Formats: sequence, structure tokens, C-alpha cells
Amino acid sequence: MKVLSKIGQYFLMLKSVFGKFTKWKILKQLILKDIDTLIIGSLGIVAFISFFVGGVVAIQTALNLENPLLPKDLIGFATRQSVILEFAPTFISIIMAGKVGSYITSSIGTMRVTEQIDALEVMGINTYNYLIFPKIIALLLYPLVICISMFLGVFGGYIACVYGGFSSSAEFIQGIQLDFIPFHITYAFIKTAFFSFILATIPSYHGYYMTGGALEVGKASTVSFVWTSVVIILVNYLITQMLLT
Amino acid sequence: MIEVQNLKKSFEGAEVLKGISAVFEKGKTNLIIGQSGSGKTVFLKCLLGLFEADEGKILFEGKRLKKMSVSERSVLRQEMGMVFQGSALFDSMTVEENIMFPMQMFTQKTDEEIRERANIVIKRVNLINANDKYPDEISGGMKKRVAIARAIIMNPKYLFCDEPNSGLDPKTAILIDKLIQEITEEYNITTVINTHDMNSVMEIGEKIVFLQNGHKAWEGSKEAIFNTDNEALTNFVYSSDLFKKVREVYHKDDH
Repeated sequence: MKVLSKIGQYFLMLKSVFGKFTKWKILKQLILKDIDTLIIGSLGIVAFISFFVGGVVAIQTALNLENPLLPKDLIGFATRQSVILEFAPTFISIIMAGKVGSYITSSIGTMRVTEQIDALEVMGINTYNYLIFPKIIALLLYPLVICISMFLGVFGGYIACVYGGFSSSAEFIQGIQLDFIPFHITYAFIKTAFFSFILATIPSYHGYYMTGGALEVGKASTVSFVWTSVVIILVNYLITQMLLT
Repeated sequence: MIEVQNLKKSFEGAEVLKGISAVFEKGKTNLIIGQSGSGKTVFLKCLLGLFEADEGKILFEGKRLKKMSVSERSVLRQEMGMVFQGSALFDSMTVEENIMFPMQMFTQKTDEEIRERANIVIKRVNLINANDKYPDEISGGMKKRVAIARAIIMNPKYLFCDEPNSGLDPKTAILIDKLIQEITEEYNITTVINTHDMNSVMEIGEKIVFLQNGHKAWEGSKEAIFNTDNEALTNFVYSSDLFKKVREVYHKDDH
């Protein structure tokens, strides 16, 4: 019952986000600030993880190709498929649930604890729109982050494979072009669009409705990370089932 | 003027406000006093519209809060100023930006005009060399001044303060109390202050409402406190030795 009530509360919150709009001059500043914090601020860690995980995927694939009859271009093929289909859109989103999600929950939660949200409400501001809408808009640029992650993941695989002596450059490049289905990219970006909305709204919900003090802000961030990850995994499963089978 | 009639509010079955009626007059500092847990903050939040009352009426200049349309409520909110217990300043903004915020949000004035108005209220609350500082770089007393400046920048009709001098040293607390009283008279606004600080009561309490366990247990002026036979109020007021002595001196002079 409690979970149902919270789900209902989440959807009511979403309705209010698109209610009375904040003055555009103020909203524009908030969106730009959120783009800087949530998108630009995440590029470094996403690039680092993508490059090295892409490399590891290539090495693992190469080490498991024991049969000499299997062509070496399979390394590039497996790296591309792993990175584009799952690693970049899904696992980077779970990492982002930790980084961006925790930031959103703790920043809104701190505003709740220190009565800053009450102060905004007393002024007659739609706090849902003021606090959450800019984050949803900022995260519309999230597919760009995933695009960079895809590129760096495959590039990391290429570097690890070629400079690690597992295959030649031509074999790897041939592998990443092998049986390429353009719809896989579309599928990855459809997932990413859903994940970006989840990344903006579930952590916001946990921050907005938290009660208590500083300790509870930490707890809310942890709970937010868990629920954001759970929802991302479930939505990933549903979208995969609907689009790829 | 704010009129409250038979206000009731419960949380998960626990009745916090049990039918409170009171009138808060214009141009006066109206104080709500009572022990922690007596319902002061819930009462204030009901007045502000942050909590919806279960029963009873809240009337602003005769207009019932609950019956107001969205646009009427929106106008009313712009006529309200609030000083929160912890000041509730926006961490990501400088002092000047905090003060300018309500005007930027609700008026069509240019940044220059808003800054000009902000500097007037900054001077009024005696904030010196703090415009470009962030809330975590200023003292508790300065934070309260910023909160007061932010609350009055829109020329409010109503000023609400929740424990405005909590966490301040006695000297600064008196300065903040005096500032609120001066602003109330100067702007001719209805000020409602939530406090359990007896120094505030004696300094600026023009009208006092005493709450006990969600009931209004007493109402009167600061002078009337010395002559009251309300046991709950007497226990509350004279819980410190200092006020017991003040009372003795008061009664000695009286005789």
C-alpha cells in the first residue's frame, strides 16, 4: 500500500512539474546551471569509465577466443555490440544514478531540510517546476553523453586490442562494421531518452519528499540510487523485450 | 489584519491545533508564544498556507484563505514576507541575489531598478559590505538581516517570523527584535512572530497569544503578563530565575 501511495505521489509530482511555470528569465539560468553540473560535470568520469571498460571488454573477448578457426574480427564485433547495446546506455546510466542522482537528491533534500523550499512556496513559486523542470530539460542532453560513451568505449577496445597485440587494426575495424544494424543505435537512444527522464525525476522525488535532518539527506540519496537503478533495469528489460524481440 | 477562527489541524490522527481563534492586528508586532511542541510552528504554517487546516477559517483583510482563487492566492503570497528560523537563504546565491530574488521573480523591473531597491532595504537592515558574500560566509545575525531584507523587499502587507532570534547572542537578538518592530511600524504591516524567547516578549510583544497543547491558553499584552493568574502562562514565563526576579520587582513597584 505504501509503495502504491508513493508511486501515486510521484505521478502527482510529475503533473505539478508541468503546472505553473517559473519566469523564463530565471528558468533559463537554472537550466544552464543544471547543464553545467549534470551534463558537463559528468563527462570526465563517463569518458574515463567508457574508455577503460571498452578496453577490458575487448581484452576479455580476445582471451576467450581460444578456437583458431574463429576470426579475429569477432573482437571488434563483440566490443561494438556490448558497448552500444548495453554498456553505454544502461550501465553508464546506473553509474549516473550514483553521481547525478545522488547530487539531485542531496541538493533538493538539503533545500527541504533548511526550509529553502518552504521559502520558495511562501513566495508563491511552483517549487516542483522551479526545482525539477530545469533538471529534466538539462538531461535532454544526456544522449550526447551516451554518444561520447559509445565512441570512447569502442575506441578503448580498439586501443587495447591493437596495442595489446590481440588483433590487427584492420581486423578490429572490420569487426565493428560486421553485421551492423542501424536500428541498434536507435534502440540505444530510445532507452537513453527514458533513462534520462528517470535520472531527473526519481532522485528529485526522493529529495523533495524527504523529511528529517542532515542524516536523512544521506539516507535519501542512498534510497534514491537504489530505486533509480531498479527502475532503469526494469525499464531496460521492458524496452528490450518490446523493441528487439 | 489577520483573523483566525476555530483552527484545527491533525497529523495522522494526532490533533496538533485544537480550535484556535485569534486576531492579529495591523501595524503591531503580534507574538505567538508557547513551549516547544505547543503547535506554534504548525499554526504559523497554516497562516502561511503551507499546511491546509482541517477545520476553521483564516481571513486576510476579511477574505477567507481557503476560498481564494489561484490568482488571489498568488497575489496574497506576494504580499507576505517570511523570516524562517534558520533564515532559509538560498545557498547558491549571494546576499544581494537572495534579496533581489523575489523582485526578479515577480516584477517586470530591470536588474538596475531591482538592485537599487535591494540596496535601500540592505541599508535599512544595516547590512554592511556583505552584498557579494554567500550565506555560509556571514554570521547568524547577518543571515537574519538578509532574511528580513528579502522578506520586506516587495513591501509586504504581512510579515511572518519563525523564531527570528534563535541561535543569536542576547545583544544581537534584541537588535533583530527591534529591527522587526521598527519595520512593522514604518511599513504599517501585520507582523506575526513565533517565539519562546521571553526577552522578545518583553521587548516587542504588543499583542501576545499563548498556546498550550494546541489550545489558545491566554491572550493579552506584555504588561498583562505580570498580572495574569493563568497558571500555565505563569509557569512558562517564570521558568527562569531572572524573570521570577523581574516579576518580584514589578510587583514591589506596583505596591
